[in-house]
Amino acid sequence: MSKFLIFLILFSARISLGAITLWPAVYSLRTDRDEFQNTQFQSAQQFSLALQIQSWSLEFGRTEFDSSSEEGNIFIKEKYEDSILWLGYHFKLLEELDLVTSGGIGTYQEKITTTVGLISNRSESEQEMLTGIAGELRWKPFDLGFLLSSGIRVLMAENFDPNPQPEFFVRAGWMF
Amino acid sequence: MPSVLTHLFLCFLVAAMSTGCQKTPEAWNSSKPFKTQIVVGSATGLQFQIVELEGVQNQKTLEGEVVEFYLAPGEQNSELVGPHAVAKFIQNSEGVFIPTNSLSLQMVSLYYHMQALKKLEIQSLGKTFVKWPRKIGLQVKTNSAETRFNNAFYNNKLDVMFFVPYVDQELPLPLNGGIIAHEHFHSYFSYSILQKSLASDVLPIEDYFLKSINEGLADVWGWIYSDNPDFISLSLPDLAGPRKLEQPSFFRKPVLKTKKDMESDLNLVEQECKRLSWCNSADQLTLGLAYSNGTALARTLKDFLTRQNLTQEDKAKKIFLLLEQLNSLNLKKELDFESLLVEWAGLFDSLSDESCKILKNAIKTEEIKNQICLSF
Repeated sequence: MSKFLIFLILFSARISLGAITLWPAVYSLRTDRDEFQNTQFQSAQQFSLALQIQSWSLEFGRTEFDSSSEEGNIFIKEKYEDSILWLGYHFKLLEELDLVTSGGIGTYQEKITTTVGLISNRSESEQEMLTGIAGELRWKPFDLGFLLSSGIRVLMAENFDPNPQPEFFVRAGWMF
Repeated sequence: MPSVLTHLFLCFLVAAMSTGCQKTPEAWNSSKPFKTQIVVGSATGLQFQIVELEGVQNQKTLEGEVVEFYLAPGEQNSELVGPHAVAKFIQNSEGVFIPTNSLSLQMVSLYYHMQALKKLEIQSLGKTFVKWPRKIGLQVKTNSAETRFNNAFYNNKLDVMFFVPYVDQELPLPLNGGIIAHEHFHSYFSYSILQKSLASDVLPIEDYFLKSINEGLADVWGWIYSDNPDFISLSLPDLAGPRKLEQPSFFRKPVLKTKKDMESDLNLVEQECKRLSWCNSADQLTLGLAYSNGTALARTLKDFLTRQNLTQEDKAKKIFLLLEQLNSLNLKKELDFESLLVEWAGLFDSLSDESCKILKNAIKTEEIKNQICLSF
């Protein structure tokens, strides 16, 4: 419900204000730690929608990824989902190149399915708060609406391991 | 324009707050029991159970009054070295910590069973017998091809229980309560018997005898704790036949070895070891026979204790008495399963006819057989 509220606010603001950017194609790698405390990279599915007014932007991003762990007849699957609202400022480096720095706040939830032999059990956490900072280089060639960007985000939450958690991303989008 | 930005900023705040307004479970601290979900296996199958772990001081490592977990530890200068294992959880709306990976599930299951074993120990003896918290190594790496996977063992020098990775398709050993109890019993045997025997020169036959009793009593302890005579097969189905404590009635025959039988065994393994290129010491072959002798002893004791209609606590008390009795024996003189059984039978105040029959059936030597239940 809250995410729909955000979308409505953004969409209604668009009618009289700035530009909307859709980011449908995102490749991101988030660092995580496995059960043996080794750093590993999680590839995540992401989708973002942003509204830009002059040098400011407000972006809503949603991330999901799955991970699993097994031994013997134990199979544990974890589904991670987060929703983050980013407030960003664009620094114009060149005509077609912006540096965007952002601060974000949002929530995440983890859902666990534990299967041992033939029995299975599902549990989920409450929505937990998370915050983040991000830096991104955004390229808009030839003023066609097409956008390419690459950047890094650092996410922080009480129960993250590691905390903070870096994330690297490359994405393609369209500005309307 | 500034009013538009203000409007947007307020929208941002509203959005942020609307996603944050959820009921959160009460934060855990070490003064409260740690509620978590484990998997329990029994003769009837597996089931999830919500349990409370007491005395946990650290949510990540589960360090506390019962267990200290180590991840793939090693040994250096006769000390255990290695990092603490780290568990990961989510907390559901009821405040229950759900393990998010296999290692975490193993840690909470092990903590739960060790907690129950500690309670059983205190109930039986009125105090603790071994040093707590116990040290447990998980995902341990070994050099031996035979013990690299699907195994658990107690290291009496370091006083640590080790679990190697499990690669079969059944219940991993750290989730098997009976196997945990079996390995934990080896620490009781080490504390009471081995310390004494290690202090003096032990002959190969004494070592073989003690190994057999150690394995046999550990199996009995695993059965007493789990109430499942077939606890091993939940994780190691290939061992179900050789190690199952239930024996069909037509198998009940004299099974306990005499001193002569054991001497004959040792001669055989010495010759066999010379024949096998990989065998460096006859000890490597003796252990297999010790398991077999141990199972024979365990089956007899299990049948016998069942006939006595004892509670779990009373059975545990009897096993501690057997250990004490064993400790008082002169091994160089009394080195025989049969005569040991006679000694142990004497620890019971009364024995039913059925119980006497079980003990007599396990003994070959007529004059020893006739000593059973003389006073009843």
